[in-house]
Amino acid sequence: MRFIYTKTFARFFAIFLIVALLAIFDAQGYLGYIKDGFLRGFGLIANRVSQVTNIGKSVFSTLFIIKDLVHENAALSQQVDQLAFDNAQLKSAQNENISLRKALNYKQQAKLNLLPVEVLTQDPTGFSQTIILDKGANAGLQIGQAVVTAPGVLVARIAQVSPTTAAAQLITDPATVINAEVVDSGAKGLIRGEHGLTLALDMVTQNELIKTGDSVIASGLSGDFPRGLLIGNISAIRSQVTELFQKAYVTPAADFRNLKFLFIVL
Amino acid sequence: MKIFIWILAVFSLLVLQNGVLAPLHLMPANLILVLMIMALLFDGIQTALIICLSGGIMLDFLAGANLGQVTLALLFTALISFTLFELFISREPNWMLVAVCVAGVTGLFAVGFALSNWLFGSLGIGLDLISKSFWTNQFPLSLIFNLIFAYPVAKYFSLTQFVYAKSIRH
Repeated sequence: MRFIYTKTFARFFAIFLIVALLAIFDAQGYLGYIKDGFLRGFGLIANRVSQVTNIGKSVFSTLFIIKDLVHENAALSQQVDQLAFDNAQLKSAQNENISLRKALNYKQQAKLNLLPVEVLTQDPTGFSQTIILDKGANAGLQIGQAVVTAPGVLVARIAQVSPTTAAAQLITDPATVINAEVVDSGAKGLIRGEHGLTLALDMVTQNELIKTGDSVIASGLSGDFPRGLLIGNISAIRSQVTELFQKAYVTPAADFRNLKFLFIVL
Repeated sequence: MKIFIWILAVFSLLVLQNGVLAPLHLMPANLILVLMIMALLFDGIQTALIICLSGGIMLDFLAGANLGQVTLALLFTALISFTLFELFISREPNWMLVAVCVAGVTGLFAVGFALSNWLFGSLGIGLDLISKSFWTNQFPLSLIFNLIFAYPVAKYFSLTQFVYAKSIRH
């Protein structure tokens, strides 16, 4: 009981009051510009340091993997040829799709309206799967907007917006839930993050046929993300006859360790 | 002067963590917490509170959380740790003692963080940062990396103390 009369307790109490006041100001949005200034300054310095680290990392990793590079190069060349062929076929199918929709008087599927952004920094401790972007409310960003990489791969959702920066929650965050669809079979389910490690496709009924390697996209059912954004590929399936639903693990298509230039879907 | 030097030290440590550890995928370490433990063990409560407040605010900004979520967790940890250290820990140069303190305080911080998350959640502000995988993945990894980086952070702490001592001598 005597502790509450000590200088130490007084210091703790004073700091607790300061923190409570700052929390209230932040909740009201009064600290937006201070936050933005700090994140920009921090991001600028941290990026310089990480560039040096990445240079050192690439030098060391090249020394270790140099003999695998030849095989990987050959495999990638073959993959590029296959993808070019698939791309040509898909373009042809797309044109046919547009014509048929026109003929049926369907509403034209609008192309995505994208705003380029840059990642300022990422949470270094992993408390939250959050990235800070260099644009905010002044550029038209709103909470709930999807964040993608250039080829339409879903990466995150905007969780908080300040005047000139925004915080986006990655899809690997456990709090993010996405209505998803398996491309080949059309099976519907929910994608949940597994704390930065992988994604889980849950609530897939037992009668749906899914297999490893299948692509998973956003279904657009609840309107939270536009339909068709690629999420990843199924890497493993857990299915037991006694359970109502089967569960699959999805490897994200985006490389979350190297996020730099992204796009907001407006 | 002391406050300024320690705020700069905390900022530099976070820059190092984000610029060096993050590209090497060593992210779950909480170096600010380890620095605070070193301050409690080898300096005093004043330095620990400076680290707690400045580091907590910076971590709140970087996590995208509402200001105070991480800071309150650090403050809670500092208060309990200070009390326990005063009652049970003898200040002797023993690395085993430091390792035990780091492990124990990391666990304490996890509890404090869960409480802070619950408090902010019940007030309807801030992000929900705790899930089941926090206890099964984040916490064990954090414990391991905090122990691994205890020695380098201790060296960083003594370097900062040296810089401060030099600055007041001039």
